[in-house]
Formats: sequence, structure tokens, C-alpha cells
Amino acid sequence: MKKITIVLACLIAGSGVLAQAKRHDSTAIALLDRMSDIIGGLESCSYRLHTAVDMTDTLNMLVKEFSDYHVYMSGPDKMLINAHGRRGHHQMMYNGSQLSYYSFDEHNYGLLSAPPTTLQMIDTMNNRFGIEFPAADFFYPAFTDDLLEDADTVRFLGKSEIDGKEYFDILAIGKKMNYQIWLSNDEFLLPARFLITYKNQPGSPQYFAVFSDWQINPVLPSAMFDFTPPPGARQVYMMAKGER
Amino acid sequence: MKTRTYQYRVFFIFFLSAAIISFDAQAQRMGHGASGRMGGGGGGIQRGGGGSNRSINGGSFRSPDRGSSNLSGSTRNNNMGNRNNGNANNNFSNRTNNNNSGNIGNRTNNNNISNRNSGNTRNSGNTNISGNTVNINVNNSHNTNVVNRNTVVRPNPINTYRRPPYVYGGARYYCYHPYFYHPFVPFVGWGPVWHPWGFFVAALATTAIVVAVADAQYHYDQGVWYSASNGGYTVVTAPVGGTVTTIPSSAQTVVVNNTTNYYYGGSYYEKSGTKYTVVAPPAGAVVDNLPEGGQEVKVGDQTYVKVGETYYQPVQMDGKNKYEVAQIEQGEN
Repeated sequence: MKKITIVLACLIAGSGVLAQAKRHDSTAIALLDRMSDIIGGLESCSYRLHTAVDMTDTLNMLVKEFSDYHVYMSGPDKMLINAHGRRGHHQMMYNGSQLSYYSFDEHNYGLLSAPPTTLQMIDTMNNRFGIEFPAADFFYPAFTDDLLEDADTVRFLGKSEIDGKEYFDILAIGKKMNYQIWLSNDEFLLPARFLITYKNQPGSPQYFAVFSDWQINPVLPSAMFDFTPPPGARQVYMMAKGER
Repeated sequence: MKTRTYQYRVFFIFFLSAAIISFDAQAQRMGHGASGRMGGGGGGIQRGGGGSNRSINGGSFRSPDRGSSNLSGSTRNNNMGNRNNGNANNNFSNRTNNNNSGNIGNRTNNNNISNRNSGNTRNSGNTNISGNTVNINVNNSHNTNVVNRNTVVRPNPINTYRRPPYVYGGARYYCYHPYFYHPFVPFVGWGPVWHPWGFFVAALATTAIVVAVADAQYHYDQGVWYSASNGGYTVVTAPVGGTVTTIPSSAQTVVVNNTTNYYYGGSYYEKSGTKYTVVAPPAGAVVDNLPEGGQEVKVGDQTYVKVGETYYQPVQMDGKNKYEVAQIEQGEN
């Protein structure tokens, strides 16, 4: 009986330590929830994203690489991304059943059968082919939950002003990554920029992205998500990660 | 009400299971499991934003155990101890979804390439792969029957490469020359007696000779290797170790690490005395042309030409489009 009491005491003490491990600021969470609610209520949107990504060069130095994206989403099963930057110029179109990947630089394209929703498609294509979908995290329904699960600390840093606009500034400290998220201080509370710092990697590389030109519920015709090969474009086979 | 509570519990248990299972494979900047929980845009159990059927993500979702947003200083159970951290090379997104659609496939490929690994989605003409995603309708308009015996690349010491490898999918692609894309056009200028792999002839020319390699018997005629089949002869890849006394004079000389190779019709030879012996493609060899049967393959951001098991990187030398045999090493470091 004494042993059981000691074990229980240890467990309670242990859980107390764990309980102290997380500090989540209610203001920050309310803001993030509000952002997710608004995004979840969108039936279509488009935005531009400018990214600055730290990459390791051949001398193990961090160098910054930049990319620009124009993203369109419509309903649960349509997406179009135009990308310029470190991976060249390419366009991806998803129409609910197929993802096309067209390279403007090489004038070739691949076609992949795809799951029926945009989020499933993103998961699958990133996992199997390493295809990037910029800032897709914000479009996951449980964005706040997931952030809370990973981050020991989530703090509202206050308001900050950048280029004459006011933003809510939120910091999340995870085990391996830190996140700083700026939300627009306006009616829509949409993400405006974010910074991820990889604490577990040499030099703590960062991924920084700035949103712009948000369009809320624009009318996007279905046909814009259907891929038609440009004249003369060559179809290529898309190799999955790990495939030989 | 009881039924609803039960449904919530079942769903919650399911979502926890799915989340835990999928974390190892996630490659995201932030850890999420949302689409696995919510089925993408397929609705959910608690919506804060009132997502509609046309919502881009099915509406927002909050874990029932979180309650309200007033969590200052509170504790949440964290069952996600094994998340992938992001990588600056990775995308800010993305997680594994175990709920992919089935019945996807239908890659139409006119190739009949027999050397491909079984289990590789490329092998399946019409596949029905649950949980997989496959290429659609890749039509290479070749009609080849490639039987590979010599297309596994002979590697070089890695330290001879001064360029960093191109990394994709857990493999490193080494080349001496920089990537320079140019469309693959099968070369057909090897003369009237040359035929691509898989080509069938009913009879051989009288100049053909018999060459035994290991326990197999081949027929060789002016740079083309045949194997008897179906009452005739099918062009096959040159068998490594096969030795002949002549190769076509148009063979290209290829020097790799001070070793001279001769390239003709997709096959490589080394000369010893007066004889030429078939060898596997040497990594780093740069050739002018590739034969019919090659296939353009998008490897991440770069497009290679795969001939048998050999990956050729398009390069440019002295203003001319060429192909270099890539050396592939497993592992990203």
C-alpha cells in the first residue's frame, strides 16, 4: 500500500511538472481561432506569397532563396498555384481528381491522379512527390490545435506596425521550431506573414513568408483549374520519392 | 444525445489513432493532422467558422478537449511527440493523409519495359492502388521491349565529384556537369542496321556472329545484340562481358576517369587488345545521343532521361546538348 501511494505521488508530481510545461496565451489562441474560423468560412480565395528560405550551400553556409507564388483555391477541391523562384517557374492545377505540374522553363508537364479534396491532395503530393504548397498550414481546419500541441508556449506579443499597417503579432515556441505569425488587424484577420525558425538545424535556418493581395470569395471559374497542355509541351513521368 | 456522444468518442479515438500513425511520414513546417481528422473538406465534428459544403477546407476545427479559447497556462495532453520538424527545404504545409482515394491509376504507357521493378507503379498499366497516386497517361510513344542486363551504372568515387549532388526522395544524383535541360529526342542516326531494344526480326544477316556470355547465347551484328525468341530474334541490351572484335566505326569515344569507353546505340564497350568488351554505363560518361526507349522522368525539379536503369542528366558542353550518366547514391547525406 505504501508503494502504491509513493507511485501515485510520483505520477501526480510528474503530471504537475508537465502541466507547467505549456503556457498558452488566451489572446493569441482567440486570434488564431478567429483566423481559422474565417478561413474555414471561405468558399474561394486567392493570395500572393513571397517566401525567403534559408538554404545550406555547398560550403554549409546559409543562403537566402526567394520565391513568389500566386495561389487560387475554390471550394474543397480546386487549387491553382503559379510559382516563380528557386524551383523555376511552374504551375500546378488541381481540379478534384488530377494534379498537373507544368514547367514553363522546360515546357513539359506531369499528370498525377489526385485525392478528392484539396487538403488530401496536398498531403499526398507533398508526401509522395515533395511538391510544395506554400503556406498550406493555415488552411488546415485544426491549425490552432496543431500549433498548441507542438508549441510549449504561445504568446500574444501585441500589435506591431509594418509599412503603415497594423498586425497582431503571435509567437509560438515549439520543441524544434519557433513560429512567429502576424495577422492583419482588420475585419478578416487573415495571416499576413509568418516566420519559422528551425532550432534543431545547424545555423537555425528560417522560412519567412509574406502574404499579399488576399481576395475573399472571388468568382473563380472551374475551367481555370483544368489543365490543357500547351502546344508542344511534353509529358513526363513524375517520379515519387523513394522510387527507383 | 447518447448516440452523438458515442459518435464523438469514436471519432476522437479514430483521429488520435490516425494522427499518431501518420506523424512519422509527415513533412511539414508546422505539425498538423487536420485533413486526416477532418477528411479534408469533408466536414467535421466541431466547427467554429460554420464552414459550408463549398468551404475550401471544410470549416475550422477545434479539439473538444480544448473547450474555449481561454487556455492561458493550461495543460493539454500532447500525443504528438513524434512530429517531423520542418526543414528549410521543405514546404510549410503538408502531412500524410491516410485517407487517399482509391481507384486511381490508369497510366497508359506504350512501353513494354520488362526490367522495371515489380511493385513499382510504373509497371502497372492500369493500376488500382488504394492510397497511392500514380502518373496518368504518360505516353512515350515508344514500342520497346527493354531487357536490361547492362544498364546499372558503374560508380565513381564520390570525391571525384566537385559539384554537390542533386537531392530528391532520399537519393543523391551526382554529375560532373551542371543540369541543363533540353528535350529528349531519341536518336535514330545509327544507321540502317541499328535497331532499338525490343525490335524483332525474323532472320539475321549473314554477318551476325554468335557470342556466348555466361550461360546465355547472343547474336551480334554491327553493334546490335539479339536474343533468339519466338522463332526469330529480339534486340536486347548488350550483355556485360560480351566480347566482340569489331564495333561500328561511328561509335563515340567516351573517356571517364582516364578510362576510354566506346559508346554505340546505348551500349558501352571497353577495348582490350583487339577486342571490345561490353561494360555497364560508367557514371560520368557524357554521350551525344540516347536511343529510342529512353523516357523522360521528372525527378523533383529536374528532368532526367531514364534508359533501362540508367539515369542520364541533360547537360550542355561547348554549346551542344548532351547527356551525362548520373551516379545515384542512396541517402541524403
